[in-house]
Order: sequence, then C-alpha cells, then structure tokens
Amino acid sequence: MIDYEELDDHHLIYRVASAEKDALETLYSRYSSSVFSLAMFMLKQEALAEEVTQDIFLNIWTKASSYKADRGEPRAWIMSVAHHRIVDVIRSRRRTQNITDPGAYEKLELLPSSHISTEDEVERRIERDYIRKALDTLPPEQKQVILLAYFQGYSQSEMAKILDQPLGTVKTRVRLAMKKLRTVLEGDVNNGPI
Amino acid sequence: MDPYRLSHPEELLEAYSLGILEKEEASDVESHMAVCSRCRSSVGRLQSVAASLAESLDQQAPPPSVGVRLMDAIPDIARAVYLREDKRKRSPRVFPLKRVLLPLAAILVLGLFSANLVATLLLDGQVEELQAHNTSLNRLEKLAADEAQVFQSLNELREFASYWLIDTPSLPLVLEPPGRKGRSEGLLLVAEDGRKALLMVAGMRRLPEPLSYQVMLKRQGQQPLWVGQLKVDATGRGNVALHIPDEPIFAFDKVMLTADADAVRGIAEDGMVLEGQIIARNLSK
Repeated sequence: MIDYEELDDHHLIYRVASAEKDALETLYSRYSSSVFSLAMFMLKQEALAEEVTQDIFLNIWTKASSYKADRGEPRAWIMSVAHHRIVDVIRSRRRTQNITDPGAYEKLELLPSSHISTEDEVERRIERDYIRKALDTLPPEQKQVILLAYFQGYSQSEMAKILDQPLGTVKTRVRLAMKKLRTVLEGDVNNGPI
Repeated sequence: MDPYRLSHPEELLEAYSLGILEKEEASDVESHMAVCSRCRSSVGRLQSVAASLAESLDQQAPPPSVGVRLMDAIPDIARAVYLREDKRKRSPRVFPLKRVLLPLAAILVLGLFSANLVATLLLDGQVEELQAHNTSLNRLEKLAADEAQVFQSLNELREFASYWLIDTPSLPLVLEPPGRKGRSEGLLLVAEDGRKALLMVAGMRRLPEPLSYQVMLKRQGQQPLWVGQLKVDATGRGNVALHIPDEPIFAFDKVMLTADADAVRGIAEDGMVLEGQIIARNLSK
C-alpha cells in the first residue's frame, strides 16, 4: 500500500503520469491553495477561479508525462501551468471586451481599474516578507513591470503601451528584474528566509 | 527557426518564465528548450522565482467542492482506459493492411525462390553467375522480411493507438524519410477533430541518452512548433502522444521528426529523419 503523503513531488508527478488518481489528489492537497489564491487574485471572480483551478489540475493530470526533472522543481512547473492557464483566461476576456464593448470592461471586474492601484494591492497582499524584501531591492520601474506582467498577465508590448515606454525598454526592465530577483531569492534559499 | 542552430535565446527566457511572450516567440523558446538542457535548466530556475511570487500571496484554500468535482471528473478518464484495455483483450483488432501486406511479402519471397530454382535448372552451365544471383536474391529476401517486420511493428502500435484514441475515428498519416532514404517508417494517427494525435515509429536508430527525437509541426512561413519528444526502444520502435496546440493539427502543413544532426550522421545530414504532409482538405473537419 503506497502512502502518497510520504512521496516527494517528483514521484507524485511520475505517478500522476501513470494515471494514479491518488497521486493527483495528494498534489492537489499540496498546491490547490497556491493555485486558487493566484486565480482568485488575478481573476477577481470566485466562481471563475474555482473553475480554472479544477481545469489546471486536469491539465496537470493530462500533461504530467511531459514534465521533465531537468526543467526545474515540480512546484515551479505546477505554478507555471497554473499561471499560463490563468493568463489565457484573462487575455481571452480582454480580447472579447476589446472586440465588443470596451466601455463594459470595467464592469467585469476581471481586472483592477488601473495598474497603479493593482501594484499597491499586490504589495498589500504579499504576505511573505522575503518576497516583499526581494521586490524592494528592485528599482521602482523594474518592480512595476514584474507586477504588471506576472499578476496582471500583460504582454511586453501591452506594458509598453500602458507605460508609454519603448518596447525595448520594457524588455530590458523585465530581464534585469528577473535576474535580480533570481539572485536575491536563490541567495535566500541558501541562507534561509530573511 | 531551426532549434539546433539557434543560439541560446537568453534574452527571451525571463519573459518566457513570466508567461508574457507572444505566442510565436514562446514557441521558438519551447522548440529550443526541447533540445537544450542548459536553457531548460535556466527556465526552471526562473520559473521557480515566478512561483515564489505566486506563493507569496495570502493563501486561500478552494472550497471542498472543487476537489470533489476534480476527482469526479477523473474516474471517467480512468474507466475509459480500463474499458479500452478490456476490449483489446476480448476482441483484438487486425489492421486491414496486415492481411494484405503479409501475404504479399510471402508471395514475393516465394516468387524469388521459384525464380532462383528455375534459373538453376535452365542454366546449368552458368553456376557461378547463378550463385551470384542467389546471393542477391537472399539479400532481397532478407529485406522483404525486414520490411514485413517493420509493418508488423507498425500494425501492433496502431492497434494500441486505436484504443488510446477511445474509438474516435482517426486519420492515419504516413511519415517517411526525406527522399525515402533509409528504412525507418512512421505513422501519425490523428483524431478526426485534430485535437489528439499519436506518433508511432519503427526501424529507428536508438539515440544515446539524453538525446531523443523531437517532433515538430510546421506551416508555411512560420517557425516549427515543438509538440513532443520521442524515445525509441532497442528494437527501434517508439510512440508518443503529441501536445497539440490550441488549434487543430490540420492548421499545419507538415509534421517532422528531427534529431541532433551529429546523432544521425549518415542518415540525415540536416537532422530531419521523418516527415509527412498534413492534408489540407481535413481542415473542414
């Protein structure tokens, strides 16, 4: 009898790939809160967040065989699958709104009314000190693109328009910000949370 | 873009990890990562940073009903797999071509033997020449046997695939080496709606770890899109379910199987080992 709770994430994903339902249930118990919290934060609608969360774990069930250990930690892969799915939903709704009635966009409450308040909101909602501190090491313009990109799902060209900056500038900010965050957070992993 | 020749797309990896690249750029990165462990590793580390951002939000568990619905949705899939297995045990299918190709191969071999025998009787004085002919015929006989074995392998794999596709009517697409050089063969089974596909091969060279064959979809004027990674066993067979993108496979022109050019030197100089045209008329489906 396998005790799935005892298995690490790598083994669980391999067992999910072999269609072991209990392995998925264990992964769900470990990551559903992170996935649902991200979905709630980005989509702003509980029913939609629930539906997307279920969708994401069904994706994990069907895509588990494509996971490769050299592509990073399972948790990063799971959250990447989750983030991609959520961003897909956001972009799809944005396209629909752009095509139909741009004026009704705000009524959907799928996205906050302005990027400035969202950045504030993100910062308020970030509970872990070491992430907040890592973000604080970034220059404000770099922090801004990370928050817009990750938590609002804006592409680089969309951010260039929103921020009224050249696309190249936005790309450079994204690269520098991620490099810095990686350096700071990987240092933290080695040294423990700040 | 040829993923083997592309230099490491380092300037795109951060944005890829944040999920903010345009689709075409993201496809380019994925094609490259399929053959580059260094970039896979870099993206893994960057995605870990992105995951930390997500996990830093205040945590909120979903209602229990979400987990219940998820688990309810899965037994149907598992049961379908069980039913396919059960059906296979009860009524094994025979690929129609098997009934045609194997007798043809047998007739070919018998014909070659008969020709050899008649020639020996009629041309008694030309023993040496006949012996040379005999050697050639034996080679042909072996080739025919090899070919029959390859087809048999494909038939077995197709049988397996027909259950994997849950009885969805499927459209087979034959893949061949460019210029028909070599004896590798492939078969791509596509569900009629173009949303599922299974690639099967036989007669392939096994690549040394960690190398494997990469499966790409291509359409005119666009970069190839990576859809799967194929490993073959010691007998040269392999199969892989493809990761079909958002659009049906019929939106693409060609499916290609590629490998590191060094690994398949002597077979395919440019790394392309198998290819097949996707028939455009299927778009209407």
